[in-house]
Amino acid sequence: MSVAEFSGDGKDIVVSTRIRLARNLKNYPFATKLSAKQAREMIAAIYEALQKNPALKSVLSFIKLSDLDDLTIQSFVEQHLISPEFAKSTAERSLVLSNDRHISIMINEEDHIRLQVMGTGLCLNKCLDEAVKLDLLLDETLMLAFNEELGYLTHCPTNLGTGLRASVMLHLPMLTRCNEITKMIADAGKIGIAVRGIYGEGSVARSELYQISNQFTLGFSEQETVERLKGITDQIISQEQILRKAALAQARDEFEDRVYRSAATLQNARIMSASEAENLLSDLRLGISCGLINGIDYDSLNSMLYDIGPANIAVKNGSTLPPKERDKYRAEYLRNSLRSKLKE
Amino acid sequence: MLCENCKKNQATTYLKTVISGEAREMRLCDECAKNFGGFNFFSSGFGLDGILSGLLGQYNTSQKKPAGINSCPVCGSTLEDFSESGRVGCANCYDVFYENLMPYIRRIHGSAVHSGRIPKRIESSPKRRIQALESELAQAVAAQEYERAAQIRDELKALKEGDQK
Repeated sequence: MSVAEFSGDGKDIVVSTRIRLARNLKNYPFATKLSAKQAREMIAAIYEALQKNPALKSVLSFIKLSDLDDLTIQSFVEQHLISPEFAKSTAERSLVLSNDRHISIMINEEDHIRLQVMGTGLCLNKCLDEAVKLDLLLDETLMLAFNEELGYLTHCPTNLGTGLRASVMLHLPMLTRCNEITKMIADAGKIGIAVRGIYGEGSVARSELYQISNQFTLGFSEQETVERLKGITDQIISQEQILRKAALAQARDEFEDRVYRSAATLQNARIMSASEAENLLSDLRLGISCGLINGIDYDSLNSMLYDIGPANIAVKNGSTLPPKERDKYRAEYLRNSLRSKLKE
Repeated sequence: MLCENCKKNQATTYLKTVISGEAREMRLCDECAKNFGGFNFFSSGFGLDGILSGLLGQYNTSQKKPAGINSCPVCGSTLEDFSESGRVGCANCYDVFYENLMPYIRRIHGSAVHSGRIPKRIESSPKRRIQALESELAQAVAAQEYERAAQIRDELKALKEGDQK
């Protein structure tokens, strides 16, 4: 098995794609009832199953979470490689990570195995295919908890069935600014799709990013789940595109002014909080998609969103940095990353 | 104002989340804001966990317990444990408390029959193989492919005999 290129179309709006499968071992109790000894045994059994494929083994790192310092663990949370709950847990935990970070397998999170494959742009099928390959590998050696009626058995009944959570992260600045998001969220909810946005002070979503994912896991096959999500994602993308075109046609001066001001701040500021940086990068992304800004690609922009996280800044520049110092390093990092590259 | 989560430190951050159209506002301290802020790709239930445990809580007061079974013989979990946490203790709990859990599982998912991938050991089980052959037999008969139907019938017969041994 080779680690495929996890990349897809629509990067102007689709930041990333993620496929997650929840699996448990039949012969071990679920997380809350699992002893430390059982957890160690289970981790060893899962390692062994994954190491049966030599090509895969060579690209995977097997990490005991207790061997990592808190800051590194927090930086993994910021990069969406592990969940905040997994980071906080005091149980025996292990993380299996591919070198390119597209595969991340949490062992002994809420479920025994939380396997996820991530890609950039819209690439649901590619990520699903890779997740299925990993699942087949686990299935060869391990006795997975399964019931013909309820599918894969999970700690929480909300994940029963396929154990699949498929999600895409979308950048929707115009839908946000035109107040169309609330209606979209309500419509998506009616057909079993959840839309999550994180809001800061006031009503503007931070970074204007939203996570769109399936709510139900029982009664829909993996393929159906992914196709339904793809269907609604395509509709949201086309609505956002229509609004972007209209905004450029009707208020080009204001539109350009905002994008170029944000670009200038990113290239010159000396102190920058994470939330300010997220908002400015949102404008920059919009500027790139409308052809106003050149010289930087979406993948670089995506890595920047992770790199500006407080723990990621601290990991690179010294673990004991006070917040104000972090803001200075963040501003410096953004200046260095953008200054010589951005072109109008 | 104190942080609404830990109720210890001064609240410094206002956080508004909207999940499936439901808005939630919180005033948090720096530490708690760190945990709540940003995307949590991993949270499983979209707020359904709470609903589920609520539903199971209703069970405890309105319905009877399964006769003679108070706890799962494998992990020791009780129905009270489920109603508190919204989570079962082990795979076996789904069998032990089947009757009690099913109405709630149906309410959460709207459907209660798995459709999707299955482990190899189940896929190749005689029961599954017999089901698949029976549907192939029906198709062969409908298409008047009698020679093929006879082959399938023989294979089915052998499988069923093997299953009984």
